[in-house]
Amino acid sequence: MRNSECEALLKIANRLYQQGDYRRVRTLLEIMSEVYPREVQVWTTLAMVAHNDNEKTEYLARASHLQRQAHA
Amino acid sequence: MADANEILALGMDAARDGNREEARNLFTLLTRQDPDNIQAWLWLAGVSDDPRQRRAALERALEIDPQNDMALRGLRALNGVQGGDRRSIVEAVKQTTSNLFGRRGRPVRPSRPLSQYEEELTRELESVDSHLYDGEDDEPRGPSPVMWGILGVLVLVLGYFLASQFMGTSSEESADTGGSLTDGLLNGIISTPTLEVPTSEPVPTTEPTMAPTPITVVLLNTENTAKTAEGWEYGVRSPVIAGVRTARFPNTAPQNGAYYVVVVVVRNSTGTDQPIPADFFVLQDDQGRTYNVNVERTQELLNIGGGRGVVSDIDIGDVLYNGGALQSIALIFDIHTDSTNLRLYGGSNRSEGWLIAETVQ
Repeated sequence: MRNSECEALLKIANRLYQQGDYRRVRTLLEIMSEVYPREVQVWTTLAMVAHNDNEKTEYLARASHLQRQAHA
Repeated sequence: MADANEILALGMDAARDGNREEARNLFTLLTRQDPDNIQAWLWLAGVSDDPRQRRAALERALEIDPQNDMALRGLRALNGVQGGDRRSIVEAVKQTTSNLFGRRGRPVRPSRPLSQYEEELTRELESVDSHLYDGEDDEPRGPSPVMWGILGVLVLVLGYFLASQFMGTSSEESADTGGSLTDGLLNGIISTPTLEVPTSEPVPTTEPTMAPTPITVVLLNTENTAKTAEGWEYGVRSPVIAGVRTARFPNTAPQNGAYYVVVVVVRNSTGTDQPIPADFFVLQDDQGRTYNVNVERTQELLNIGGGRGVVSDIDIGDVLYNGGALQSIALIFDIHTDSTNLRLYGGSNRSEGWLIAETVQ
């Protein structure tokens, strides 16, 4: 079950994303990925604001891996 | 490497907007990412509603920097210590924070120099819930955060009233247009794309050296994206205002025809604490003329209007801390009255700007 703080932070990230403030979304999610490395949505959202395709692939792979683990 | 200062600033913005829960979540995140981030601990203490959480955050801050004034003052307030010098405060804190000073060999991160937001934090800490005090306190207690807010609004309105004495539109006109500086600051975003300022003569309250000129005003657009140039973020992001009107000063007449006030907001992301360069913002018109900020008049306006925090957050020469919050500055330009399509640009970024006014008269 997702941490409520993590949930609230994802909402902030989503709001910033809606505002087009991608840089701060990225910063927030990068920090979140250190604190909540097992949260799938952190990685999938981070993929949306990745600097390049390599980063995006890496983040999505991480999310996919976590997803598989969760359903194993 | 993620810049924690950006998130710290985000939390500070949330705290200022009264969204303490969001601020708490952001500061908590930072303390988990870096348990030695003393600013995050201090701010977390400032926005905590739970006295135990507040105490824990302050104790952690003191653990990182045993000499930190804000942490000491905050704990003193929580402990109900009456006045006293630093030694007595430390002793009092020692008595209530077991083994805090017993640890050895921990790295001590010195606190940053006192900055604007630290002053705000100090106010937060000094307004620790009064019910936590035991017995008499020999120091006067400050207003509650709510009272600070109310007082701030009153000062803002008063300051604007004073400033309006020197501006080319009366306060009545401002109320009519709904586009006054105060309105904008209070409402956050100006959403009206164009405004016709009534052409009735304002009532002079000083000895003007320039006749007030009716103008057509186009407020900056409300595009929800800040512009960037040379590491500075500026322009339109809530709560952002860029109101425009002519101004007049008691002892100085404009050389070109009219003084123009443009309120902008700016955030320092350059990596260095520094003031924004005086030539950063420029106005340009369709006639090909470029206008730089009149620094002297800009500072005069700030003084006339009641100083920092009234007409604008800061003076143009003030140091902006890297990663700090957005700050407003009321800039004065000396422009020609036949200017058309006045546009505001920042730094070397001339591809993105804002239409300030289609015509001046």
